[in-house]
Amino acid sequence: MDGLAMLRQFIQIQELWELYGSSPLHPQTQRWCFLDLDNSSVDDGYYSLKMRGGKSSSLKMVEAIKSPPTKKSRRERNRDKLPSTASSTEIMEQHIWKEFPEDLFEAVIARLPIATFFRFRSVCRKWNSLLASQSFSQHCAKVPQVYPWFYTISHEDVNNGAMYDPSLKKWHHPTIPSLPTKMIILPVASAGGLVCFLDIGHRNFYVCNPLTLSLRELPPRSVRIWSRVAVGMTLNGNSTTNGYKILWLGCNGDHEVYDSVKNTWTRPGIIPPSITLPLSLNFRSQAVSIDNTLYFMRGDPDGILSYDMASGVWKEFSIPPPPHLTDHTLAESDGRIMLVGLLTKNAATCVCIWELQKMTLLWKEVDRMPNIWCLEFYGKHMRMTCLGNRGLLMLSLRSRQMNRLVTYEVSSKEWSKVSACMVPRGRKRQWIACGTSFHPCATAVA
Amino acid sequence: MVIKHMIEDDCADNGIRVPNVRGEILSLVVAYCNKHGPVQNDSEDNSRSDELKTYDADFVKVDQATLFHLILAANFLNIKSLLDLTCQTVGDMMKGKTTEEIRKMFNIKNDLTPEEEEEGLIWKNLVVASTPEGEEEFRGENQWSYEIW
Repeated sequence: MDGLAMLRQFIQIQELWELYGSSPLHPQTQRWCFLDLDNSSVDDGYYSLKMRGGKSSSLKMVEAIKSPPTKKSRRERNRDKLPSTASSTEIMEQHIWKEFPEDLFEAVIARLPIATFFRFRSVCRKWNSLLASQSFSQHCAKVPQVYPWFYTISHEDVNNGAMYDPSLKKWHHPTIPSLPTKMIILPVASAGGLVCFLDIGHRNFYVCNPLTLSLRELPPRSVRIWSRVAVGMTLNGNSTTNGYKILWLGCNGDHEVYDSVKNTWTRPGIIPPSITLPLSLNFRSQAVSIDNTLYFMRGDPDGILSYDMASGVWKEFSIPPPPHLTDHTLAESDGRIMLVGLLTKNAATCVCIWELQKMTLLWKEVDRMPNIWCLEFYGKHMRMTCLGNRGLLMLSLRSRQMNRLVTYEVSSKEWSKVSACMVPRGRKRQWIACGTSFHPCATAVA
Repeated sequence: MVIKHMIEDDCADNGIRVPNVRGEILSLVVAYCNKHGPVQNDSEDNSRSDELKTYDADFVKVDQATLFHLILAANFLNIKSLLDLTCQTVGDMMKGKTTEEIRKMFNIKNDLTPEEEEEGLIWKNLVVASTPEGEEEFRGENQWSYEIW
């Protein structure tokens, strides 16, 4: 709206006020001018400060401001959160809200946290059937997702996944098995709220929405030898309503793509001769997808292999790995390709984060786990598994006696400790074997 | 956009009739649009988004009746960002309530059979975790684990 049009509108509205008899100088209209210094807005204030880490010119200044908050202990942060929970216990006046129009419920419910939405499904039949509603699905697609959840499998209970919700900092356990199979199934990829599973013998693929247990068993692939494969998953659009594609890739260059719309596997071609074979794929690293391209980590030569799902083009990038590196995996944040791994020198081990410099094709170290946490690993033989490699990373650090879980938010460079996953209603801790991150979407259908 | 269309279609010369929206609510909506309307170039993006976040947080600090009318207005006038903001606020108010409190508040009848109610609760712990009582149960567990770390 240009200035003149706005002014015109404003004047006409003034006239309307006179018509309806309300005073334009109502005290409420002045309210927003007051600077609110309570905790909740301060929280918002420095949260967006953290987001600015990407700009190089202001990086130094921003880091100086934000370094105290990132090292804050979890207890302190929880204390800061208390004022916002106070508002949720506010009494809602029935005489106002009973007039709330039916068609607006969907817009409100779509914005509730997932756990709350599941709880309110038992309010009435209409709310219970929202998952199947097309319009509700559309509302959900419009709500921006901030944090992914993590679907993990533990050594103690390989048949039931446990999910970690980083916004509530809680583990959730299912009451019925996630997948109706007797085999051990591991999560290998995810897209749009759906998780792709592969059984431990590398034979059958399954796609499932962990929240609603909407499940699809994929048709068998056209191979006779089931060797280890790397898997990538992409969406045909913004949500699962347009379908999704899954690619598997073997070390000899064999690959196939599954299209959920056609429900078939197809061989899009052979891998071009320019790509060095055998692939020496890093199977511990999950693939990364940015727009419609999948990126895999490979060795001999070390680097990245990319596949464009739309055009079917393969590309290879030779990138020297950082020295003394072990247990490394690819990660992604805002379209940037990252690497996370253990750096071991003498007896000291540290978790490091690198970003790929696209112009030079070199890894540049951008962050490390705080020293004080790394001290715990000194002199121990550590292994690391990445349980989620998109935006918010979750890492499992294991030695013989312990299993530490950490999350790292790439954009804000914030490290957080994760409480151990406990056996439901017990005091025993579970050791996390593997996992993947996914964006919780109640309406995604496999 | 609704008013903008009216102006563009040149039927606004004698004043726009907005019969579904009360005067004081409309003044708030106009203020919101004026604040969010102008689009800045990239370099000012960050400070502006902080400013807008603070503005939005204060904007919804109104009594429930006003909030109610703001939602209806945003919906009628088709102002997406205001609808997002106000719906989010109502959602935040609903979060801590039990299902019975929700039914009372919106005057909704419970037409589910007990079997149907149980059906949806696959992730029981997921459900439990979000009620105030559930918080206590889980806080105990998490606390212990945190100390081990």
